[in-house]
Amino acid sequence: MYTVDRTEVNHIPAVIIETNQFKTITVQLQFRSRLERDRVTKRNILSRMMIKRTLQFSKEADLLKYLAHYYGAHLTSNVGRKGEDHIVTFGMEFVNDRFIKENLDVAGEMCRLLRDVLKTPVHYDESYEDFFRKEKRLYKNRLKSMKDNRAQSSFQSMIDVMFKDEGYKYLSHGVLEDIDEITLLDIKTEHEQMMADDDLAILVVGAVDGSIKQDLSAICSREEPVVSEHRAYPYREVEKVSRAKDTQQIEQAKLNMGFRVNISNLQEQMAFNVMNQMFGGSASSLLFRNIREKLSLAYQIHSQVDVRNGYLFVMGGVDPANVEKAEAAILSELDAIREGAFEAEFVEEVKRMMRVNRQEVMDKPKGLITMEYNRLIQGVQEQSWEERLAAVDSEMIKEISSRVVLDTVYVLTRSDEDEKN
Amino acid sequence: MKRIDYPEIDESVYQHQCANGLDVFIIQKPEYSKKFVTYTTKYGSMDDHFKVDGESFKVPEGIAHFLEHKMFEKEDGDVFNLFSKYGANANAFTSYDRTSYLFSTTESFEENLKLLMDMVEKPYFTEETVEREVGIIGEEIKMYQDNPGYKLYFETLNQMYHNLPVKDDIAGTESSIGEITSDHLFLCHRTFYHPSNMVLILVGEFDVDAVMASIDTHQSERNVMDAPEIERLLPEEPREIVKPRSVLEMDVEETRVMLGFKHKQGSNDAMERLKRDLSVMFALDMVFGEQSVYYYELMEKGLIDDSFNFSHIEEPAFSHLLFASNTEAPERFTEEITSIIETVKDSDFFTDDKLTVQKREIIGDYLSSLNSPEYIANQYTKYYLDGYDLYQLPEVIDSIEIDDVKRHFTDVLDTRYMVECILKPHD
Repeated sequence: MYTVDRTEVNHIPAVIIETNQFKTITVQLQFRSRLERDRVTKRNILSRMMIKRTLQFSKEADLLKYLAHYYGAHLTSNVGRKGEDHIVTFGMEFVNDRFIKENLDVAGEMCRLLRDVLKTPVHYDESYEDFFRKEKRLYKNRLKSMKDNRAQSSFQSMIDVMFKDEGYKYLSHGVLEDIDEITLLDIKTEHEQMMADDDLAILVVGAVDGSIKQDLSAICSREEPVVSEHRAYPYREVEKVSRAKDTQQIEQAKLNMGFRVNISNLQEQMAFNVMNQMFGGSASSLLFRNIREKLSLAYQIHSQVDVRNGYLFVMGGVDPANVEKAEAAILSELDAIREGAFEAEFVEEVKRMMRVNRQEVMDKPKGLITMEYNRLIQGVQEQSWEERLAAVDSEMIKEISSRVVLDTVYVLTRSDEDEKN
Repeated sequence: MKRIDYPEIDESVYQHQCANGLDVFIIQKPEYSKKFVTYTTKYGSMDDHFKVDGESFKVPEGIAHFLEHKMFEKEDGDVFNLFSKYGANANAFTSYDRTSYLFSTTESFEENLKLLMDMVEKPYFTEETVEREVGIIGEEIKMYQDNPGYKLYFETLNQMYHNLPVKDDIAGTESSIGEITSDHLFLCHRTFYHPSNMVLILVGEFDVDAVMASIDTHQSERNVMDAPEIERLLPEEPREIVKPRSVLEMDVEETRVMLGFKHKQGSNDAMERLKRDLSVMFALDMVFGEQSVYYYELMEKGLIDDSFNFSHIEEPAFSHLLFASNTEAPERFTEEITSIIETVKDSDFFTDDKLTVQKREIIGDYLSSLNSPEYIANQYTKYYLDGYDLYQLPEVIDSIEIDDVKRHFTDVLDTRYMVECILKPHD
């Protein structure tokens, strides 16, 4: 139960979602630009620096104490990808005044703090060099430690092979090798560009009323609106399946497979989404039921899609001796979908589950924001999400799956030497 | 049925005990379309040695988790698929002291609730299905063996604990699960899945009278025997540690270190345990949290990064505290941490002002968590099984004083009971 006010604050699109469901109020600022190698790494550093110090709080500990005083308000930054876009999100979540026994203007204070965050880093001189160096070290460590997560690192390796000369390979978290070269001046330029050129939106959810616009207007203003078209990467034909393999001293092999499909509209995106849920995207999917439960070929097995760009990925944790068998079994499940070897009832069951999951997402403040933000950047559509889901049938599933093409198979496994030990 | 209101946090709870001993709580969350249900038995990985109605049993390690997996399989197939048919997401998990089965949905609630209760209450095991599960869980165990964080954690626990099964992997070992038979599973189900050892928690917007009546009817129609008398046979555990230092090598990029401080077993009084737990967490946040000067010193010295974390666990049978970080200099990390501990003990570090800031922060986090039906169901269950009420947490937080914080910090951070475990790349 909520109402949505799509409005504008100082030439910036703002979406105000009013509901009494939550005990907190969440404000998000979404900065959207094109995902490019040169940009992602700098923005990762910049966005972390922005939430750690402000003009008023020159030490991180002081800023955190201030947030704690306002009943543990949470200031966060995040990076992500949508289609061909890179998105930097600043979030502020704070407790609704109703639960506080003293008179604090929490919303007003937190919006003023967000204003200062957007102006941070304030100084780009020597006084910030140490801070900058520290952030670079921490960022490098975060990326390095991702390599110790086998599932994550093998997925990244598959992406590197599949998109070797395409922008998609630069995942939203940036490139380790680029960090050292970046200077504080680069960050300053990136900061100025982000503030001036990005498509920016403000989203709020919680027990607020029209007066919140007053608070939001303190955050930021623009002379005129900046709007950038939201789009996906162009489709690229697969000429030949790429294969790559690496070895490590591990117990369980990781099998990663990447597929492409040409998606041209929102209805196809929806069909692709439903097809993925049937294939490997849920606990009732064919991969989970057959590869894991029936054939015991994997403990972990699932598929996920980037519906905007038309990519499908399968990730499995399998016994090193069973890698080939598992790959063949996965492909034969895909063939089953292409041939229509499934009940129409299964399609309806998956659609029902997707509807339920979407309703559940709406029970979360951040879920509501994501949904409304997607609506904002997609623009007005003739058909609603629900209508597009309802339209998906077995024929559409067969049709879209017949166009899904295997692009890359990447395996991280044990070396033969380790096998003998 | 009893209704309890918590006006300060705007929550209400309905409580009822069925005739067979099952406790049911309905936590009303108006405006939520999602309904989240957990059905929990007070039975976890530590309960592998027990006495029931006078007879004692020792069952293979990992059986509680194995049983959890097997409960989803019935004669006519996998119950997961039935939940999906009714539009629900189902899952389950096993910890040291409990096993929870859960589902969430926005549709066909009655059907899903009945499905959950039937699934948990009616066991079905055959030698053949047990054997197949050994393969699946074997892969799960292997997967964890490749996880450096997990290896570091269990090695640290093994350096701390001589006898308590908290040191064992919840999933067991490849060899222990191979010993599990359907007879073991029936025995454990009969013993620990009795309604008097379980709790059912529902979070969402409900027609409370109707839902409670339907649960009551379902429970009264079950053919349940008298509650067995269960005695958990936990081994004696001294506070002394097993091994102060250990170095593991693995095919990894980063060196990690974990420090463990073993505490003496907590009080039998649940409220005392909760207060000790909160006091220790306040102390740790003040000394090592991101508002502390020491945190930035460790950071400046390059001894920690964003992965630095600490946690405290306070259970009736055991209690310990852990620090962990990725670091290039694990030995110096340990030296610095122990030196900070001694400095703090010898100074007036802890102040009322610091405690007030911590309390405000934790109250905010708590209120924000109450947006989540999952958090409420899981934590309400944990608190209930441990003997307290999640919704009274603000009062307990309020009652903690700076002297509690000081006393517990000094008590738990005793380096005589400290272990250090380092996991590094191969030379």
